[in-house]
This record gives sequence, structure tokens and C-alpha cells, in this order.
Amino acid sequence: MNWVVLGSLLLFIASVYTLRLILIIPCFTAASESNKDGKDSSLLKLKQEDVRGLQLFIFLGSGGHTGEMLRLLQNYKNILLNKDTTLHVGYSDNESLKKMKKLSDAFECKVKFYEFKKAREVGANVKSSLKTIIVTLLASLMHVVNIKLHMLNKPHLVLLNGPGTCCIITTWFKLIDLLCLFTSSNIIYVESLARIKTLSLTGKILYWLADEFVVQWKDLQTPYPRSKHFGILV
Amino acid sequence: MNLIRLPEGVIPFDETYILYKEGDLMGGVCCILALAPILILQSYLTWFIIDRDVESLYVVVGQLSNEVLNKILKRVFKHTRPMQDGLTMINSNDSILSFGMPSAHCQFMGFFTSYIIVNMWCRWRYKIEKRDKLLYSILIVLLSLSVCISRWYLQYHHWDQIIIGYEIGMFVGMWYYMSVVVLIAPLSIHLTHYPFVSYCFEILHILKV
Repeated sequence: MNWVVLGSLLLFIASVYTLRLILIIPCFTAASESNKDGKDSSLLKLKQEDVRGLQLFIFLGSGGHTGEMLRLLQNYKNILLNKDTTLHVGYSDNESLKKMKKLSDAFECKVKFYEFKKAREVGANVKSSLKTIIVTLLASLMHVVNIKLHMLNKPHLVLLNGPGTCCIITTWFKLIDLLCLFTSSNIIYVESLARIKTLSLTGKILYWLADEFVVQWKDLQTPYPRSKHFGILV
Repeated sequence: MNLIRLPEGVIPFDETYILYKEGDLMGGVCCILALAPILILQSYLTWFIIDRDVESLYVVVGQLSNEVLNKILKRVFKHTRPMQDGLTMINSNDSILSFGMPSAHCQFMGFFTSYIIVNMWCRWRYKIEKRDKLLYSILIVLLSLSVCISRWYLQYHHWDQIIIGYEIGMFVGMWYYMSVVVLIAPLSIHLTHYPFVSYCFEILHILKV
């Protein structure tokens, strides 16, 4: 009779995790009301008093994405970057690091830097690529766990842009949400200004995973109805 | 207790044939609860006739696949049912009716519970107040648990067959919900471009996924 108890326990745990999977992946929770470009989504309604002590995570990839992210931060400086905020910055190349360090002197908030290595060096062969990919995956998991620990029980936000590493970061965040049943990661993905008619590959992947998906051109809302449009943000 | 002697080659219809102790009120209530799956299927049919809504078709297909899975699992496990006060079931030991693991009624109610509750909270496109949703969820859970208790009370299943049946139903219900959202709903939206199909059912208020 003992295997019955074991089987029922396993099934129960599997059901709980399946339910958690349904709740964290946003495509299973289709909003039937308020899916227009009104600003009444709970995540995108930010008032200054709600976000005291905000833990904000951004990721700076190469060149153009870094520029867009920094302009986005400048535009929302008053709400996002007041003196109680902790800004966690992930970067993967030194140019972005230098630009961010120069700007962060002007911000009043605490800033912490995390290095995410590139998954594959240019021209590497299969064996060393595999090694760097595994090392990158594990190192980014360590960083994400670290950041998640900071985010527990405080208002938090993850703001992502174009780079491909954002897919890996999102996957780790959602995996931690799946395993630890009561955390949340509020992931907002802002598609690049250059994308007028189609989404980037990162955008196509994160359309299913990000909690809020923001596009900057209204034409993109037709093929991707879940997205939200607030005009040009950068 | 009277033993019914049936003529040669005559068997009862096993979906609605439920035995209970004579004069037992609780047993009578349990028999009505054991008919709940049939009543629920009938309400899906009513829903389809009134609205021709494709969501009702999704549920019916899911429930019937769940029943098929149950029949397969009964053949795999081959556990016997409890003896009812020394009497076996009318049919012989080799038929499906006499296998007990997992319980078909409990698997049906488990699927019904998880699919309807997840659908109502996550996907229902008409506005329902949150407290109404909570009330309906509690009622649905109470109904399904009552059906499971009735199967135990009438000694149709052991307690382990009931628990495993309910949990298998819940698990299959959730995965069926995910497959509806990701595969089946987009596929059926694609199918409505054919004229005969859109005559058969309507997709009211296509959900924006």
C-alpha cells in the first residue's frame, strides 16, 4: 500500500507546480478587460509613494541597446531613481560599464554592478563554446539568485531591453519563481525604437514570458495583441 | 437484501446503475451525487446548444479524453473494487466495470474542478466579481469532494483509488488547459476560415493572447 501514498504525494506536488507554472507564465492568463493602451495595468501604474525602496534591475547589452536603456532611465528618473532606490546593473561589455558609471554619479540612488559574460566569443570552436556557454549560464544564475534575494519583500522591477542575454535572465527569474512558490518577478520588456513592423528575436521569445510587453510603435500591436503602447518612450 | 435475477444476456447500463442499501437516506443522496458527471456533461450540451460556443467543445473533448485515459489506466492497474457486503458486481470479474483503480467518477470531478477553476480565474472573458469567483470555486470544490465521498460511502472504491483518481484528474485538467491556450484555441481560430466549420461553432470574443 505504500506506493499509493508515494504516488499520491508526487501527484499532488506535480499539480501544485503545474498550477504555479500556469500562474507565472503570462500567456496562460489572458486579460479579458483593459487590454487597450490605457495606463490602467497594475504593473505600469507607478506612483512615487508606491515605489519607496524600489529594487530595480536593468541589463545593458551592446551599443544601441545601452543608449536606449539609459535614455529610458533619464525620462523616468523622478519615479524610478529617487534616493531610496537600489539600482542593480548587469552589463556585458566595458563600454556600457563606462557609460553607466559616468551617468550614475548624477543619480542619487545606490548602484550595484554585475558582470554577465558573453555566451560565445567570436570564432570559438564547438568545445570551448560549449564550455563558455555553460559557464555563462551558471554565472548568470548566481547573479540572478543574488538579485532575487535583494528583491524579496520589497517593491521590485526588472526592466529589459533588446539584448539576447535578456532571454537567459528572464528564464532564470521565471524558474526561481516556479521553484520558490511565492516570489514574483515583475518583468517589463520594452521593444527597441528601431522595430516598427516586426519584433526582434528577443522580443518574439519574451512576448510569451514577460509580464508586461511594451512596444513603441502602434503598428506592432496588431500582430502582437498582448503588447501595450504608450507612445515613444526613449 | 434482495438479489436481482436478470434474464440471460441482459446487463445493467453501468454509467447510471448504482447500488445502495435499502432505506438508507445517505445512500440515496450518494447515488444522486454519483450521477453528477452525467449531469455535468448534460450541462455542457445545454451550453453548446444555447451559445454554440467553442469553449464548451473544448471542455467536452477534454472530459471525454480523461474518460478514455481512465479506462486505459483501469486495464493497466487491474485493482479490484471492494466487495459490497459479500456480493460482487453483477458483471463478471473480467469486465471493465469491476476494476477499481483509478476511480472514474473522481477522475472526472478532478478534471472538472481544475479545468473550470483555472479557466474561470485566468481566462474567462466575461466580467465576474472576484467574490463571486471565490464562491463558485468553493462550491465546485465542495461538489467534487462530495462525489468522491459518495464513491467511498457506497463502497464502490477503496480510499486510495479515490485519491489517486482525483489527483490524476486534477493534473490532466491543468495540462489540458495549457494545451488549449497554446495549441487548440489558435488552431480553431485558424479553422473558422473554412465556412462549414464556422457554421458548426462560434468563437465568441476571440481572446487576445
